[in-house]
Amino acid sequence: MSALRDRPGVASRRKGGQATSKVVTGDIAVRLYQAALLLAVPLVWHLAGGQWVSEDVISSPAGVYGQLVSWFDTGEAVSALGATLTAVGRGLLLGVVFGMLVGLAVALAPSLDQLVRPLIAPLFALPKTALMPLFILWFGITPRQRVVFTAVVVFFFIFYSVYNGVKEVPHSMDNAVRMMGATRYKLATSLYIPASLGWLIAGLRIAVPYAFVATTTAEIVASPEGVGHLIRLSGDLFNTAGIFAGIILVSVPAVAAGTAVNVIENRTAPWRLQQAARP
Amino acid sequence: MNGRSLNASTTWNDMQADMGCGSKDALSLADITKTFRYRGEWYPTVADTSLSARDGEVVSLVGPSGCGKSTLLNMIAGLVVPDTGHIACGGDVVRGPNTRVGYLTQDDALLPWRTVRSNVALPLEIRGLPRSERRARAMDILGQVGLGGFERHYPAQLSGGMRKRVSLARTLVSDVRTLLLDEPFGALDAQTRVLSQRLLTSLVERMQLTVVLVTHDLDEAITLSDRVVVLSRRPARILDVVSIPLARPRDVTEKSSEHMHLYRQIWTTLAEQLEVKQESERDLGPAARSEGE
Repeated sequence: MSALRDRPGVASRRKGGQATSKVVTGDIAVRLYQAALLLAVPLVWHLAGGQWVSEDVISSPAGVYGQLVSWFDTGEAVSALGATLTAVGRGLLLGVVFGMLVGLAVALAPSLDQLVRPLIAPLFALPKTALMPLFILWFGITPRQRVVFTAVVVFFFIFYSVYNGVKEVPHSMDNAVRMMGATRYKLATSLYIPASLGWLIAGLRIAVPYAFVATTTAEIVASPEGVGHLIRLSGDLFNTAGIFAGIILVSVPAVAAGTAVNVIENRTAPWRLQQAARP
Repeated sequence: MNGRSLNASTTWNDMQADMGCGSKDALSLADITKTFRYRGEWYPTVADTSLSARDGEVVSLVGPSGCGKSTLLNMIAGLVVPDTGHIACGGDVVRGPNTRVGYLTQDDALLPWRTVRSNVALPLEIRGLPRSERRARAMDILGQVGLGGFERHYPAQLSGGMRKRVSLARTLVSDVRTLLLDEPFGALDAQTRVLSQRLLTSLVERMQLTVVLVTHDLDEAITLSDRVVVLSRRPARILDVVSIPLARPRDVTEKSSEHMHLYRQIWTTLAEQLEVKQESERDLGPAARSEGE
């Protein structure tokens, strides 16, 4: 659960765009080692099961595979994934829209900023999971409750990114645009909103994986559907293979979505990449 | 050339006398004072300074670092409000951001997500000009600063000198007659600096621009200006106004004996200030350091 506690610093830091391209063009030997590692994990897992550690504890690759196949046969996997992905998607949408709007509003209106600023840090430090009982009380054990919980988690990452993005706009740019005779409205549309869009994508890099964490957590705590529910159910039945199968089931779309954000980031903001490549 | 090289106002009194002919002054500052407050302490930055620039005149401000030169420019730009005194630009009193002047600082302040052309067209976009006209004018001015063919590049893809020229083009595109330059070439390498100075000189001579240039480089001040104003250490006061009677058009790489003579004259006045400053560096406090930005 501690993974759900937000880390403000992360959203605002960029690692630079070279990391992905380095892997692509990287040494073939490194790729081979990576492939070997990927194969070694299930192999060691397979050998260890029943030998050194009980299969009740770590199950086995074959058991997990069997569980996945049976879930897909019964249709449980598809309906669970459907419920989870819907909640993640809606939560993301809500969180991003409100995070952007509130982030821009607070950062651009000095009076609002003064009012809200002391609240930002404590709200960030607050472990959002602690709010779950409250949401269950308000919305019941419903899809809406899981969407709202996910949206709240996403909101803070996006809010913080956009807020910081606006604050990081250099003074010289603000001066330059104001001296062109820009009104407050023009200043926002031609400088601050585009500047914060780059930061929005940086925020999404963090927010998308955490949306999956939030929805899965909500489903594990209380839900009659979704992958989190499958994991919880497997745990209750001492079905270790089911737990691992659920983890894999939710990880695949989470990793895919994270990669998609990286691709979008690289495509939509060439200037940022080029800037990162420059010293 | 409205008697550019005949300009003979060499004393402070003459400078103030210039203030009288309001219609001819592109720019005039009268009795300007500015004091900044920093951590509960007051730092007088500009004291009783009067200054003017005629239409088409290039005036350089030189002085010890942190003496208030940039503050003067910020006040002409309308970004900082003086405590006392008046600033007029083209006959109008400056209130709020001054759209009649172009302001170039060390930081090129280009928007990194816009292409070169789109950056240059931004002032016209803000004024609500139609797209086709914006494009045509941006392309025209880019040609004039020697950046034709680079309109689709992003600022991050250009060298420092090229970004500086884009920034210059962005200022000139909105037909300003007056430029404020705050150490515009300070961050450039020596060769690029010479090329940029040459470009600026030719643009100034061709377009009859009024320029107020803040610089640490006395050679640059002499080469580019019609008058060099030597300021004291903070709070800035005018110590001397040196007329630069070198003929135009000028070659920025040529250093005649007259140039060297003027250099020595300005340096003598300035050196005293630098010595005084070293002795009392500690008294200047943090405001003096933050002044440099």
